[in-house]
Amino acid sequence: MEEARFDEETYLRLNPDVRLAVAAGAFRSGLEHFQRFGGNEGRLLARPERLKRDCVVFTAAPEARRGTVKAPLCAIDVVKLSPAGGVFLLGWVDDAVDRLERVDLYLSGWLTSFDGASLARLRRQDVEAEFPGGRHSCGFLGFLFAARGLTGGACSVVLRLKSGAEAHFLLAAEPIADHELRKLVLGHIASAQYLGNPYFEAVAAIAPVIGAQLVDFNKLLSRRAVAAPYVERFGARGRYSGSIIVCLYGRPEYVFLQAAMFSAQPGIGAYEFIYVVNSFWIAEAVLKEARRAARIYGLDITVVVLAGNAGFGAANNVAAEYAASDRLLIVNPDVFPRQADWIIAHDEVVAQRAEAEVRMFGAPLYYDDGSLMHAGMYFELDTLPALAGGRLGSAGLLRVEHSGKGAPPETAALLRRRRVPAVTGAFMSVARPWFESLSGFSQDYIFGHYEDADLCLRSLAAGCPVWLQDLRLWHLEGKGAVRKPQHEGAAVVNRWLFTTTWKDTVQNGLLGPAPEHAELHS
Amino acid sequence: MKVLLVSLYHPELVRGGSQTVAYELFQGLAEVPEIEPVLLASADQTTPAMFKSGARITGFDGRENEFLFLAQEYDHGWEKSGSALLAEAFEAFLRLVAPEVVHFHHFMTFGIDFLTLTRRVLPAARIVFTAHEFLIICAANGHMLRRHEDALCSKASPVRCHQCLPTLPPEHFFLREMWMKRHLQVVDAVTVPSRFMIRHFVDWGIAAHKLSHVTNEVSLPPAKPKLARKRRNRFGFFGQLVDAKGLQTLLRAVSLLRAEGFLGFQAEINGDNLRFASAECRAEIEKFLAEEEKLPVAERLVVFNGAYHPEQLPARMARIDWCVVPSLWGRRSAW
Repeated sequence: MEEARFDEETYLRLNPDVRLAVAAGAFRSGLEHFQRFGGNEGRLLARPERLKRDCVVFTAAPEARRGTVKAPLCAIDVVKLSPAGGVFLLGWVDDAVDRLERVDLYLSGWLTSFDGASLARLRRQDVEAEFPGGRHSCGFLGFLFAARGLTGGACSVVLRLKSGAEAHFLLAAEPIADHELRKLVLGHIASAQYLGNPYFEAVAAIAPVIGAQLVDFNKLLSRRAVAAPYVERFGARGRYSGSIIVCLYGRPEYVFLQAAMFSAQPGIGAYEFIYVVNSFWIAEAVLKEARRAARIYGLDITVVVLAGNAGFGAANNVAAEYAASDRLLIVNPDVFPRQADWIIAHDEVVAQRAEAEVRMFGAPLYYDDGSLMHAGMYFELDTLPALAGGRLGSAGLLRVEHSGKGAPPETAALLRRRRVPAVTGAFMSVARPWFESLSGFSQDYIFGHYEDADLCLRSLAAGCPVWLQDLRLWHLEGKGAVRKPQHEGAAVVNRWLFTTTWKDTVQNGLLGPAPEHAELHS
Repeated sequence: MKVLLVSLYHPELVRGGSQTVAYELFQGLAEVPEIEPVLLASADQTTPAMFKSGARITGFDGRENEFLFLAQEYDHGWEKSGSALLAEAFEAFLRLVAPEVVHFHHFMTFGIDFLTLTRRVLPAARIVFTAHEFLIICAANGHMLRRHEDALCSKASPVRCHQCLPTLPPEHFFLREMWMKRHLQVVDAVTVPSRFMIRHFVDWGIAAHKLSHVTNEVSLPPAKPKLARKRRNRFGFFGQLVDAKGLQTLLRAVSLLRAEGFLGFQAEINGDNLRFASAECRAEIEKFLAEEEKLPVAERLVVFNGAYHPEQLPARMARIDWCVVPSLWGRRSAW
């Protein structure tokens, strides 16, 4: 009966707070407000010309008006959907007092709800200056992976605060390619501003939900990238005593540089090269250089081109499948032999040392300035006080350090052959059966970082610590690949994942540069 | 004995000291009965008409034992070609010619890695490399000039080279040195046109026993008698019109003298390859010459005579009293 008398313009005129809320997008119309709140509040529907004059007329009972929730100050910047089912949400809300409860997305045939606590909270300096409460992480980012195609189009978004206040938005969900969405989300995580320590806050932002969702999403993209590689061989085919596997990203020139340097080594004829290309756009250049290298240096080279960036772990794993030897040498593109007989020395180590000592080993690596850059890796735990739910606790993140970084080149204590907690993936020599028994590198890490330490810790857990053998190489760290913002975002996810996976293990005797773990001293 | 001379450019197509010396050697060896020389000179897009569809190596203008290498995809950063087809063509040419000596005059347009390719294809051949400047040491055009401080460079190193070319990190120069040395290790002999260069190369790491001083020789017609004049005020510049040869310095000197009212002299410019100068240098030279052209003939102090063949040198030399060598770099005088 009441609704039959309803006149939109009259209602908005009588209720300017509702007019503002409608204008802000909190309600689609005055009628919606009346149906949800106004009717119960007893708000008037009378036309103004019929109202009593020369007196104050209350349009709602004071106690009822107190129950009226204030429309949140907020915005939804974008909703993006990728074909594989990635859902990305970006927006902001002033919820310093009345906290964000949830953000619901309604699309044709499906809906989802982002829990306010699972959203990454970021600073938004472009809008926070307008807030009376001062600095506050009002930005939010959500990511979910549905693992199946989702219909796009019109998207109704309802943002709700703890008080029940809501805002409603109607927008178009924008389509985006899967790999672009991965880049977008990781880029946002890397470039966002946080209150407090950026690294810890970034990890805290993705820890509840987004980290795991991104890992799953990335695994799908990695599986796709390695599913049907393009493979071309140059030179001869045969069986080899070692397979040098190099994962390339963005820099094709390292093919000819490595080919030139390694080909000068006596004994290189017993080795093959397998270049696995994680950036499709350099495939042509890599294939040309491989063809030239086979011609100029007489090397046997296999090039495996992936359809996308599968990441370091997945790319090396698929390259290993093409190896024609029982010894895999995982080598970064910017790694070069430092001694003239390196290949012979490597052969001797593999042949003469105890089998357990050479199942998996690394080597001292040197900077171009002559100083050491790596003589094994060890683990540290960074901690910071953290506020969670109003309570003070502590947060911890594992950090992987290189032993001897920057040390004088002939530091005997660092160069001696020994068991170490881990070695860098810039150079690993591993018996293929052992590599396969460990299922190769983990493919959970995005792009690269930590899968080398992860592999070493799995080897240790399986009873075989890795060794450092004195087979010196140059390593122009960080020069062999292109680094972009999404890689920094991936580093955040990977560090969170590595900490989640290995924190308990590392804290049990593997912390510090001289860990006491029994397997390292037996 | 069959000798293959590999030359940066053919002097008929592009003037320059390196190719002139290589060609003179080719002609000289042809006069030795027991030697059969073959010349493989490069051409690039500075002479596009030399390129034939699908060809990588061709003959040259009907001349016996002279061939053109049609260079493509050259990477001046690493001094190599990116073309696999050119490497295959060069290999096929080596097998076809089967020389006992391969003499590289420069490596540019071919690639430094062709030294290694030659060694792999012809393991018994003697490989000679003639360095016409310091390009194997110095990425800044091989001049060993400290660009950021306008000084001669006494020693290359990753950090010092990065200072000269700051867009490239020190690691690039570390790799570049390894790259160059990797290929030079297959060379049996390195010749340089001045003793001065030997010290640099030895300090850099080339074994002293591989290095030889061989002066550049050019056969010239007899010098022309000079005209008797009261005033010896004619100056001449001979050389390539590129930054390091320093013509711009000479032109600045002319401007200074003119500003001071000292007008009793004339400078004659002889040379080519202004297109290879830096944009700044080229603009400076072109601007000067253009303004000179606008002056009445009687007021001009600088005359531009253009490119020259070696056989034209005596006549041009006869026109001057003094030869000016304003070179900015410390290679030598090779002639």
